[in-house]
Amino acid sequence: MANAFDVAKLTFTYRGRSRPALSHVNLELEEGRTLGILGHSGAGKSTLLAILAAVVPAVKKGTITGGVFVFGASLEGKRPRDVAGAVALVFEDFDAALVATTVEDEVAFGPRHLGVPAAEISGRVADALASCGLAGLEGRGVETLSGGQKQRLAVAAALATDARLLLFDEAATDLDPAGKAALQRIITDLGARGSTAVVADNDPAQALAWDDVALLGGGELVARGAPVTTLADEERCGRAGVAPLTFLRHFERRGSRYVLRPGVEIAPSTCDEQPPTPTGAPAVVADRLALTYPSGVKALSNFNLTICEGDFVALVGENGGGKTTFAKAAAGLLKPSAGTVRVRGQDPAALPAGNRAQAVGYLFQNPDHQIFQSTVREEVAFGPRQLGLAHAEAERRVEAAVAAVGLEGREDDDPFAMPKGDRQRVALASILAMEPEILVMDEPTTGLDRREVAALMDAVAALNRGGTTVVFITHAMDVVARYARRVAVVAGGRVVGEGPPREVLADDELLSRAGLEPPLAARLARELGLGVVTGEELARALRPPGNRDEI
Amino acid sequence: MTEAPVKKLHPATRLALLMLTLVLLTTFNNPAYVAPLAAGVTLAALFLCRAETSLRRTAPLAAAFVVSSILLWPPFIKAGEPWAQLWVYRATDLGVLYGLAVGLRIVGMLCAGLAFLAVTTPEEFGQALRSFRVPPSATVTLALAFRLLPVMFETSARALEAQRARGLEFGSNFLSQARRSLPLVVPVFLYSLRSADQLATSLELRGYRATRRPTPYGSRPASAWDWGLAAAFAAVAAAALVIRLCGHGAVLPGRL
Repeated sequence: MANAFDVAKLTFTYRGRSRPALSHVNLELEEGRTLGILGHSGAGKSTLLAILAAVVPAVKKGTITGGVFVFGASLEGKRPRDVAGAVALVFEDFDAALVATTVEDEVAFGPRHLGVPAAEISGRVADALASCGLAGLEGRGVETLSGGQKQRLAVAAALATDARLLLFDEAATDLDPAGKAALQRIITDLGARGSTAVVADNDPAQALAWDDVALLGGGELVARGAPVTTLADEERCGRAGVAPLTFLRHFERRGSRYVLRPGVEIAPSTCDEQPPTPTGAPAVVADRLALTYPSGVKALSNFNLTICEGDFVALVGENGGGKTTFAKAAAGLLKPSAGTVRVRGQDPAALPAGNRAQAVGYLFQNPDHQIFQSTVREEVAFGPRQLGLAHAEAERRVEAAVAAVGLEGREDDDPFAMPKGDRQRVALASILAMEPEILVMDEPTTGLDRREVAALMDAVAALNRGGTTVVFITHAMDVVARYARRVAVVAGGRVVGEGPPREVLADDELLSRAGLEPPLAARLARELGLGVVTGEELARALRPPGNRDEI
Repeated sequence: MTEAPVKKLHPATRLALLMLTLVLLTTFNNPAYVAPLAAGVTLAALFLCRAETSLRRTAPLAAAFVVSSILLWPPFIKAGEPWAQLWVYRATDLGVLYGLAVGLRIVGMLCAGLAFLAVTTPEEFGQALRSFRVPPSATVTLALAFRLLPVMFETSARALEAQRARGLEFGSNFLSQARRSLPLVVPVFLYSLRSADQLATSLELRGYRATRRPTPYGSRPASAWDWGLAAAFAAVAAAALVIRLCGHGAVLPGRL
């Protein structure tokens, strides 16, 4: 079969930059196959996809050398409109790429402008919406959809163009595990019907579903091969800044299942020691909390949760389940419709803004919604200045906060020029400078690579060890397994279960009620009768044949 | 809820009816003529366009328009018998009647506009404009503006929450709010720039301007009923103009 694309000795440097975003990359993909591209932030994943869509260098300028061919045709001198219809790109910031006001018009936009006959458009729209689980929402206003629904709409709009090469740039970032699984099915089906898909992502577990994976590191191709072997390669994954699935080297893939290789032995007890769940005074108490938005959407109903001082709680659950609404209510940003939420006995919404910010620090998912100053120092100092603190005290807090997130020496850097992971740490520092007693974080690791996640969450874990109560919302179950002391599962606007991570991640019935899945390592461990939940624990629990000393 | 009857009309017919309604409302300046027209438009908005939610929301604004028009117009109208005088404020009977007519006219126009928006999506509006030979690029721009407004509001709301979470209080007076708006303006402005860039790329990749004329979708040709209704409305508007030219329907004949 012919190749969907061929990239030969590709080097690209953005205008105004000295370091190339991609360097001497050779890559090709046969038609009908699915390829996952993984790598750290700035590795060149999005740039490669943008080149395949002719966005680079036609729209985003720079210097390009080497050859790029899509379906045998060179992209030299081509613009996105020249490949429209053959290539479709689903953007990470899907909201900014939606162009119509109703669901049906959004999906029909591509076929209409590509000159597809009207009789064919309705069939394409119906098929695309059905594939993405949006059938029945044709007349809905785009602005009334949830984040997850908008992301699926962006995918449906791409499918409706009937492109033979579909590019997904971090397209699953806002989806809950059930949504990610649905997107995975859509992409797998694309391969089955002869279309080609390239998926840039940071989640190696997701990439196991594709035919091939390519690892990019520092703009160079580090590895290319079958997912199981490539993602189990610790050294190469390390170079690409991808969390290696080292435990997979002990498994063989059979269809969609993984079975232990013959002769691999299981060690007795290998669980990392987890600190006990705090049982101190209540820090946050939600009692029969209910919250209905002015639009009439009931976000919370009979929501009950107690978070103790010093706890490290993960809120997990489906999109639209009520996690963010509860977090905002606990931070005093939303007022309950009924019931109460108390922070150390006080109603947070009734506190003056300064006192509220000191009681509960709230880190938003997108740091770009808050950053507005031209240096890290100024950005972090904004909160303390709002409190009216003396200059010396404000400076002390800025230094402490910047150090806590590992950004010492970068105080005079421009936050807008930093990678997203660093911007998220700037945002965290600006919250920490308020010295809050409780820290609430809304999906703090979304869009971050492995190193950025570790840097951010390690800083938060250190704060927690120092006594700060931490509550964080996430869809990353491996982050839950590694950092949380307690997990609250939220679905349908209330808490449907809670407990230590090991117990919650082992409760299939509870997880499925909230559209969740345990991490791959936990799933495989359970099949082996092990109680471990992280990949490292599972890797330590397995010994290859003839190597009894390796643990 | 069943579909609003006006929704069954072709978007171009709806736009034509809106334009003719505006012509009708501006034809007369005698409240005895304008009031029944404004009442008719309001009833049509309520029962034929199902615009009760937006009408309810704007009712206080409409009342404010009428009251302010009655109060503000008289000092500019010298004609008529003195009706009230309070220090330098002087009102004649014709001035009050003209103010009332203009107020009712504005209310009628407001209702007509809200009724049109209640039954017409931006895409349908674009389709109507294309029927009147407006270039497709202008109609896509219009649809994008409608699409991006809620995104801008949402971004502003998130930026507001993010800064409030860092202790920012805007205060109650306008000057204080304006002075403290920088932490909101910068994130929203930068997000808009990035969004515009991505939107342009997204449009191009989905075939925008790949063909000279996009395929009409979800639209049917105007029916005989559409043509008939538009013609009837045009005849009514023409008749109204004739009546006005014959000297009827105006408390101040020299004014619009």
